[in-house]
Amino acid sequence: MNSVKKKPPRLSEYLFGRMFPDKGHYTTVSDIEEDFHDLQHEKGIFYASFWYRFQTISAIPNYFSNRTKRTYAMFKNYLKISARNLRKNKLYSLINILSLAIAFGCCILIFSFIRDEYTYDRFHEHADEIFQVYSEYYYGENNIVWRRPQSPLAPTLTPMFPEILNAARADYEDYIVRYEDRTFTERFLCVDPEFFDIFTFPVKEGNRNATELEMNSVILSQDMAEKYFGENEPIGKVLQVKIRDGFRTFAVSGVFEKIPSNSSLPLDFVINIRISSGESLDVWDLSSGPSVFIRLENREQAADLENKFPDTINKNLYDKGVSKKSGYHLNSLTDYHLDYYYSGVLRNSSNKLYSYILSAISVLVLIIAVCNFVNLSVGGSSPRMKEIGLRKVFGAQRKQLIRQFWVESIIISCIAIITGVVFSIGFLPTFNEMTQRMLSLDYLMGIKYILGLCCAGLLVGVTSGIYPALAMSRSTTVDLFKKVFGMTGKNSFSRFLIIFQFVISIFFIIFTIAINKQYDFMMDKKFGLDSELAITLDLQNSSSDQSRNDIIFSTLRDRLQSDSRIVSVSASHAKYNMYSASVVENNMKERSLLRFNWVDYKYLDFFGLKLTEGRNFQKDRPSDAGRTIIVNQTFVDQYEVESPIGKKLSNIFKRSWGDGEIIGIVEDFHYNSLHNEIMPLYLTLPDEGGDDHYSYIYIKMNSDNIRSTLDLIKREFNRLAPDDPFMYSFMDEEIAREYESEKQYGRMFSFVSFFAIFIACSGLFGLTSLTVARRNKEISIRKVLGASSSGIMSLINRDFLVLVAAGNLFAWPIAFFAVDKWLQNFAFRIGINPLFFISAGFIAFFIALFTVSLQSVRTASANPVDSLRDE
Amino acid sequence: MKLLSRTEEFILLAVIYLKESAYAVMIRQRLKEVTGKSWSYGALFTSLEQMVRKGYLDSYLTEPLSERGGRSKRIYRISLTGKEALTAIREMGNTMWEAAYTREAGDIN
Repeated sequence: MNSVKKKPPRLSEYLFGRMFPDKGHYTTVSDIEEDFHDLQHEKGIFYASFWYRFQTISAIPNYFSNRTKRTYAMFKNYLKISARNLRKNKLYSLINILSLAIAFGCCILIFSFIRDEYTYDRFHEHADEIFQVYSEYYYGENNIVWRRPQSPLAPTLTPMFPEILNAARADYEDYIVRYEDRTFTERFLCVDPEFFDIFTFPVKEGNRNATELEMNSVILSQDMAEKYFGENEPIGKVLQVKIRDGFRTFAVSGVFEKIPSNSSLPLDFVINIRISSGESLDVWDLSSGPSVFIRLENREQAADLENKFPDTINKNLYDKGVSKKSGYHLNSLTDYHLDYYYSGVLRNSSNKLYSYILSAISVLVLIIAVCNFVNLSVGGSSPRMKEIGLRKVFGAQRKQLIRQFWVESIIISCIAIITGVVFSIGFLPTFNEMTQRMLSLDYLMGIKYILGLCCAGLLVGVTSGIYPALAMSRSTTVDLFKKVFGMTGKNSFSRFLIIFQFVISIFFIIFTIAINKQYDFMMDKKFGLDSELAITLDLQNSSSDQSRNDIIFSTLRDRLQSDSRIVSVSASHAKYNMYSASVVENNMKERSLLRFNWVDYKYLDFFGLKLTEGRNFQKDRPSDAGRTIIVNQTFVDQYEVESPIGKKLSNIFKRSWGDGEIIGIVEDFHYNSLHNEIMPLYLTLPDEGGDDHYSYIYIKMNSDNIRSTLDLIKREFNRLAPDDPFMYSFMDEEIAREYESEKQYGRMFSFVSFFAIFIACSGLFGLTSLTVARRNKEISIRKVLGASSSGIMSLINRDFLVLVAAGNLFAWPIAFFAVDKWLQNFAFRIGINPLFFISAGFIAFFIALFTVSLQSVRTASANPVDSLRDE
Repeated sequence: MKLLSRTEEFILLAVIYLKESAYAVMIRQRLKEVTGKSWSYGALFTSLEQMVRKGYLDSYLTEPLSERGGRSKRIYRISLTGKEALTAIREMGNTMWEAAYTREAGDIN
């Protein structure tokens, strides 16, 4: 036999060595080589090599099972050490877990809110294919008015365009409902039966063909069924509904399933639109018809369809006196809530900006909490650093230390996630009240979200563990024992993090102050109208015969004005906070777009509005009615009218009504929320015997015994309109409702900034206690040498407060920029006041001072002997 | 204490039998002799490593040996714990065997 020893196969040898390194001695490799050489002698190199390879391959499963066991054992060790550390440093663990949990809780709540925003109307099966048709009418080049489509348009769409599967009209009407002896005013959604081919509002119980909406049937929401019939079976029950002048009988044909709260089409009662609109559905004029919804085969067809409009349905418009730029357009249902351009019957639009801001905020809060973790582990207690130093002495590898830190941070973040979920469940009712939503956290039980939470926990754990793991494991053993970490050392990273936390917190505080100030400003200013103790009576439901409204108004006014408790009574056609748009033409045929309203001659006095020029409407001049106009200052400024008094204007929507003469100019006032600019506007008295009438009565009372005054008004009203419910609301409350979203977001901001500063301060608290513990001996020696308690306190406090002050410095310009940007949303806004910044700075400063002092007082007043006697 | 597996028991016994020459190659040979089947090195090394970790075996390195190209051997020695574990498993085995056969004898009578 050949006595020359051949080498074993190289790859196998390498692999075998990797799998069984025997702590770097590789005796295992020589062992197997020994057998290899024996075999080579006996059976030849070929067989031996094959054997070697076989041994290597068959060792692979052993290697892996061994490795898993070892990793598991090691992991168990990491867990054990982590648990010990958590228990040993109770304060820091508590701070870490609590701040992360609060941050996670805030994130979950805010996420739920944003999720609600982005799933608006998505519950409809064909949500993506649903579009609303609306028209833009141009009068001249730039005067644009949005209108709903002409009433008879909808039924012509399906035959004309094959891509339109269904088209339906929808409109809201308020009607009086009577059941047994109870009467309520309810909002009815009046629709074509095709409506239910477009929207999926499933009918829970009822006749199979309930959605065909026969003329005498009504479908109710679950809430309404409960309101009227309680536990009783609602199907087949009969309701009286007052439509126009008489009560009609409707049988309940179905009840809807519970409708998700994030729907732009709230529905309580649904009836056929033929009942509410009748013949007017077939009239092709430009006045606002119902809203029109269509369902397409797929979403992409919308653009093509819109391009077809100019040659087809737009032609209906051109002979009606609007310019050629006018036309029909489509607006996607799913875009409506966050990107609304045109609303029609849709309700509850919202501003996407706030979703962005809120998600940014939740991430920032999370970052603040992560900073706490990093600071508390790096600034770590000296026993901890000694422990790590000792581990290094005993040969712990760097990667083992890193893993140890990571396991710890992941454990903390996982505990925090669970606590955070509990926290968010606990705060959900408060949060719902704040946001006026009906959010639920049930969706979190979905597998997708559970996995998401796990990932978030892991991600935050790994992120917050990176710096401590790398920094601590990198440092040399000697450094660890010499304690160069933490505030007193060279560690500027820790300082940076504290500054960063306070920059964010102060930013939040400033923003919160600004939102609340802007809200106060708007609430304070109201509409610039004298609306105190004034109520609005809504006559719109009372009668379609509008001249009856006028009779009710004039009789009520005469009866009430004799009473000393009533200060003033007035009325208008459009509500004082919802003027209509119109277009007027002067004698040069120049058109201008403006807001207008038909008002009672006392309107200006009622709201305390002053004329800057000219005269008011006068009751004793019958020729004022229908012939005179009062414009606002903006009208004069914007259209640069010279000597406006006496100029003639005619409303192009009301040609029959003839020219009106400008008799006065009123100072600018708000007819709309302060988000909006004031537009040119004109007021006019309705023509006696014309068809433009009052729909809202305004009554101002004096402050004594409001209840009895209201009773008086109610009594008088019921005498005039015995069937009608007495519906009134205080103007101040109505105006406040316009600013509801600022109020909500203001509250949400206060909520989040409270927690942000809480988290930042709990971190500061932990860090102070670490510093104090580390400098305990130094401080005691200072005391022994005669330092005063206050001197020691300022010694400790100074370190931290400098950082908070620096935080202010950075936060101010950022906040200035952001607040300024946000205020651009309001046409009428507060100026940015330096006080916001200074007060936010002071708030942060004092909270921080308080937090730090909690620790430093204790140290400063401690007996130095206690900490010095062991040496 | 965890019970020894049969593999562990055999390896320990082989180590005792081999005394000073108890290194992987010899252990494997001994096992093959007795059981008649060929043991893979992977399984052997894994078991040896585990038993060292569990404290049943001690090990030391020899001086570098010229016949191995200047590399050492790792010699295994049974530890006290290992011996106790072996005794324990043997006693349990004995008890089981005895009980089983006494009962059988009793049945016959």
